[in-house]
Amino acid sequence: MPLAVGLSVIDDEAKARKNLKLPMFKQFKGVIALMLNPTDGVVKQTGVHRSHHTWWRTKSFEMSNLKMLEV
Amino acid sequence: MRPLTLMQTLEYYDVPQIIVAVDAMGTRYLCTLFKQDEENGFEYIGVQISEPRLMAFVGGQLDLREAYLHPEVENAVYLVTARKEVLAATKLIQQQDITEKMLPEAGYFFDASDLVDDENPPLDTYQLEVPVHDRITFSTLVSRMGWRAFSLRKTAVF
Repeated sequence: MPLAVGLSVIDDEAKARKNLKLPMFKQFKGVIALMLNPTDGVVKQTGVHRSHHTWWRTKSFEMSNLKMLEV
Repeated sequence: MRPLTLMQTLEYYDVPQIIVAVDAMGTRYLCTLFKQDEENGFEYIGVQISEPRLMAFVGGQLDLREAYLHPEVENAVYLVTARKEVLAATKLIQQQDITEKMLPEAGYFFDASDLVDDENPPLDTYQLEVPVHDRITFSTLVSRMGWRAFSLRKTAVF
């Protein structure tokens, strides 16, 4: 079952990197790429840009199952 | 305190990051979020901006940082807050009081081509007179924004 709180994710690396220039994100050191599986939750395009999505992760989601890609 | 009305969200990540707001006089403010907490709500740095300059930003021709460092007129930068669903320009910020934490880094150019398409958006229709030497600039802006332009004279074919 998905949790009530969603997490913003972007499917465009260049766009994600550009957002690091904004004041709220300047503190971040970089971006990471995640490979999500169907059991990790649901993803829906939200917001004003096509590249922006909200990920509602499932309670069963395990960080250890996440395939993290270095970017 | 000057109440503002939200016109458009230009960048969204968890919450609105860049917005355009307008005051009762019709003056537009380009606002970028720099602080957010439960007690004070959202704090944006907002700059009064003319329609052509706003279009230059939306068209990807104006660096967001430049909008705040070099506003079109003096006394144009404000602290804009969103608290308890009230959006307002609350305090004038003198140019020398703008801090680095308020500012975006150089090189943030807006990309309108990534905006979500609205299948049936309400349309405004304008009749424009564009100098011939601005034809390429105008057609580029029209293309980037996904607008439609119809020429009324043979000298302006797009």
